[in-house]
Amino acid sequence: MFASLKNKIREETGSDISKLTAKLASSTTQKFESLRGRGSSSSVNSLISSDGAKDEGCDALKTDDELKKKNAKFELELSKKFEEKQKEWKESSLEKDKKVQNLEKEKYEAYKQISKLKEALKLAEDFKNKILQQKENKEQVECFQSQELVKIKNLILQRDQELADKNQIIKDLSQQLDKLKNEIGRLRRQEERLSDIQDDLESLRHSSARDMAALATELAKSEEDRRYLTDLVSILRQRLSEEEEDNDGESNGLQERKLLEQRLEEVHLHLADIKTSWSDKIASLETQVGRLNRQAAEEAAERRRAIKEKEALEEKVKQLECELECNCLELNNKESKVLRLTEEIEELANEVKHLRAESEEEITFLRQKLQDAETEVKAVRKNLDNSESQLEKTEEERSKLKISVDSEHQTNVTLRQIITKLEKELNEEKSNSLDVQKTLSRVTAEKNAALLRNAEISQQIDLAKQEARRKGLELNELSNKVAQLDAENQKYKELESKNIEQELRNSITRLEEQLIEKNKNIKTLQLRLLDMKKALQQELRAPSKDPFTDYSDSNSVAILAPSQNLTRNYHNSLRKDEDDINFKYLKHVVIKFLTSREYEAIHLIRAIATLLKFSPEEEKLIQDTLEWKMSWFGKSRPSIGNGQLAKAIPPS
Amino acid sequence: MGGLLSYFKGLFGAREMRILILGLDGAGKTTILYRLQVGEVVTTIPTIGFNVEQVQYKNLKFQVWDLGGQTSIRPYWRCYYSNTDAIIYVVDSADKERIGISKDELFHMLREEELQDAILVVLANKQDMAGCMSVAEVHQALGLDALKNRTFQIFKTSATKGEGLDQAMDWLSNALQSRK
Repeated sequence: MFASLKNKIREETGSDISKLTAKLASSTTQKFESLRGRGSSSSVNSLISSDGAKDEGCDALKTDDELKKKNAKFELELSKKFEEKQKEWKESSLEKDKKVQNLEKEKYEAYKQISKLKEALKLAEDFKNKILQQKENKEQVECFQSQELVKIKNLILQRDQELADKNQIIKDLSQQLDKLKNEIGRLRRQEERLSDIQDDLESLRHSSARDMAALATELAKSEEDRRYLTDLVSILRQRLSEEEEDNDGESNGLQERKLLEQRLEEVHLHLADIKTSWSDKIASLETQVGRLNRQAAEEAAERRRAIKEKEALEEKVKQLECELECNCLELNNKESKVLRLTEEIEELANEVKHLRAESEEEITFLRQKLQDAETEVKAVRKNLDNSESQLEKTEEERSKLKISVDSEHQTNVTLRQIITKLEKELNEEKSNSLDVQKTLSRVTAEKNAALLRNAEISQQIDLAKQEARRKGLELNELSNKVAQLDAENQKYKELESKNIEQELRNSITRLEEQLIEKNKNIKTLQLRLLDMKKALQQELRAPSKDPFTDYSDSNSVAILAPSQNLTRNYHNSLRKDEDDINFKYLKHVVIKFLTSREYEAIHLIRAIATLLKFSPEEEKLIQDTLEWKMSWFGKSRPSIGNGQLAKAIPPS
Repeated sequence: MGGLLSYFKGLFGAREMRILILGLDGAGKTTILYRLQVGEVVTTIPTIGFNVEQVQYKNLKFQVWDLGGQTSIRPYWRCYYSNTDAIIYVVDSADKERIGISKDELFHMLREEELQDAILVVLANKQDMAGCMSVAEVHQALGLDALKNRTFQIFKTSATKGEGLDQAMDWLSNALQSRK
C-alpha cells in the first residue's frame, strides 16, 4: 500500500521521495543553521532590530520561501492523497456498513416475519382449541339430546303399557258385563216361569176355594139334615112319650120307636160315613193346599232371591257401566295424552334433527375452518421454513460479509498505520514549517515596528483631530450663543404680541360692557313695557267695572266695552285675540251651563248673563226658570210672555 | 234629580263648601285643584273657562271652582263670587315681575261685597323653583299687612311636589268648621 503511495508520489513529483526528503533535510538544516547564525537574538529584539539585520536575513528568506513553497506543495499533495485514500476507505467502509445494515435490516425483517408467523401459528392453534371445544360442546349437546330422547321413549313405553293394561281391564269388564247380561236374560226367563207358576198357584187356590165352598155348603146341608133329623127324633120321642102315656099302643110305639131308632142310627151311620168321606176329602184338599202353599212359598222365596240377585246384578251392571265410562274417559285422556306425547316426540325428533343438522353444519363449518387453519398453518410453516432458510442464507452471507468486513478492517488498520506514519512525517514537516513560521514571525515583527511608526503618525493625526474637536466645540458655543440670541429675539417678539392681545382683550371687555349696558337698556325697556301693560290692564279694568256697576242703566254697554276702548289704543290683531279668548270663554261656559245640573247651573247664570249682556229681566227669567225646574212642589212657572215676545217655547 | 239632592242636602245641613281658586295665569291653580282631588300631578293646558271638582278633605266636602286667570277673562271672576265660602289665592313665587299685578287683582277682588265673609288662603306656590321669593317676601309684596277684618293665612306650597297643600287644607277646614 505504502509502496504504491510512494510510487504515486514519485509520479506526481517526478522525483524520488528519498531525494526529496534529503533535499528537504538539507534545506531545513541550512535554514536552521542560518537562523542560528543570526544569533540568539530574541524575537522581541528582532522586531526592533536595525536595518542591517534585515539585509542579512534577505537571502535566507529567499531560500526559506522556496523551501516553504516546496514543503507546502508536498504537504498539499500528501494531504490530498491522504484525503483521497481516506475518502476511498471511508466510502468502502460506508458501503460495507450499509451492507451490514441492510443485512441487519433483512434479519430484523426476517425476525419480524418469524414473529408474525408465530403469531399466525398461535392463532391457528387457538382456532384448533376452539374447534375442539366446540366439538366437545357439540358432543355434549348430542349426549343430552340422546338422553332426553331415551327418557321420552321410556315415558312413551310406560304410557303404552298403561294403555294396554287399561284396554285389558276394559275388555275384562266388558266380558263380565256380557256375562251379567246373559244372566239377566236367564233370570228374565225364570221370572216368566215364576209368573206362570204364580198364575197356576192362584188358579189352584181359586179352585180349592171353590171346592172348599162347595164342601162347606154340603156340610151345611148335612148339618141341616142332621138338625132336621134330630128335630124329627125329638118329635118322635115326644110322640113316644105320649104313646107311653097311653099304654095302649105301647107295644106299637115301642116298635115304632125301635124302628125309628134304627132309622136314626142308620142316618147316623150314613152321616158318619159322609162325614168321614168329607173329612177325607177336606184332608186331601188341605194337604193339597198345604203342598201348594209350600210350593208357592218356595217359589216366592225363589222369586225374592231372583229379584235380589237381579238388583245386585243391576247394581253391578251400573257399577260396571260407570267403571266403563270412567275407563272410556280415561282411555280418551290417555289417547289424547298419547297423541300429545307422540306430537311432542315428533317435535323433539324434529328438534333433534334440526339440532343435529345445525351441529353438523357447525361441525362442517368448523372442520372447514380447521382445514383452512391447518392449510394456513402449513403455509405459515412453509413460509417459516423458507424464511428460516433465508435467514440462514442471510446469516451465512452476513458471516461472509463479516469476514470480508474483518479483512477490510484489517486492511483499514494497516492503512491507518500507514496513515499514522504519514502523519508522523507530516508532523515532522510541520515542525519544519514551524521553524519557517518563526522566521516569518520575525519578519512580521519587523513589520510591526513599521506599524508602530505608523501608530505614531496616527497619534499625531489624533492630536490634530483633538484640535479639530476643540474647534468644533468652539463652533457649538458660538451656535449656542446664536440660539440664545434667537430666543431673546423671540421673547421680544412675544412681548410685542402680548401687547396686541391685551389690546384685544381690552376691546372685548369694552364690548362686553357695552353688551351689559345694552342688556340693561333692554331690561329697563322691558320694565317700561310691563308698566305700560299694567297701565293698560288698569285701563281695561276701569271701563269693565263701569258696566257692572251701572248695570241697570244701559243694556248696550257691557263687557265688550273695554275691548272697544282697546281698539283705540292697540292694533286690531290684539283685539281679535281678545275676542277669540272671550268667545272661547263664552263657549266653554255655555257648554258647562247646558251640560251641568240645575244646582251647578244656577251659579253660572251670572257669568252667562255677563258674557251675553242679558238684561236683569232676562237674568231673572233664567234664574226663575231654573228654580222652577229644581222645585218639586208645584211652584208656578214664571211668566214667559206671549206671542212674539215669548221668551221660551210654549209647553205643548 | 239634582234639585232633589240639593234639597236634601239643604235639609240635613250637609251643604258643600264653595271654594274658588283664583290667581294670575300660570300660577298653578289647575294643578293645585287636581292635586287636591286625585292627589297626582296632571298635565294641564291654560284654562280658558273654569274647572269644577268635588273635593273631599277629611269629612268635609268642597265644591272647588278653578277659574281661568288670563288677563282678558279675569273680569269674569266676579260672576262666581256669590255664595263663596273661601278663596284660595295662588301666587307664583318665582314671578317677581307680576307680583304687583297679582297684588292689585287680590285687593280688587277683596273689595267685592259678596266676598266679605269669605275666608282667604294665600298659597305662595312654586316654592321648589330656584330663586323664588320666600313666604315673608310674598307676604310683603302682596301687602297682606293691610288686610283687616279678614280671616286669612299664607302658606308656602309646591303643587308639583305636593308640599304645603295638606297644611293649607287643614287650616282651611278648621277655619270653616269653627266659623259655623
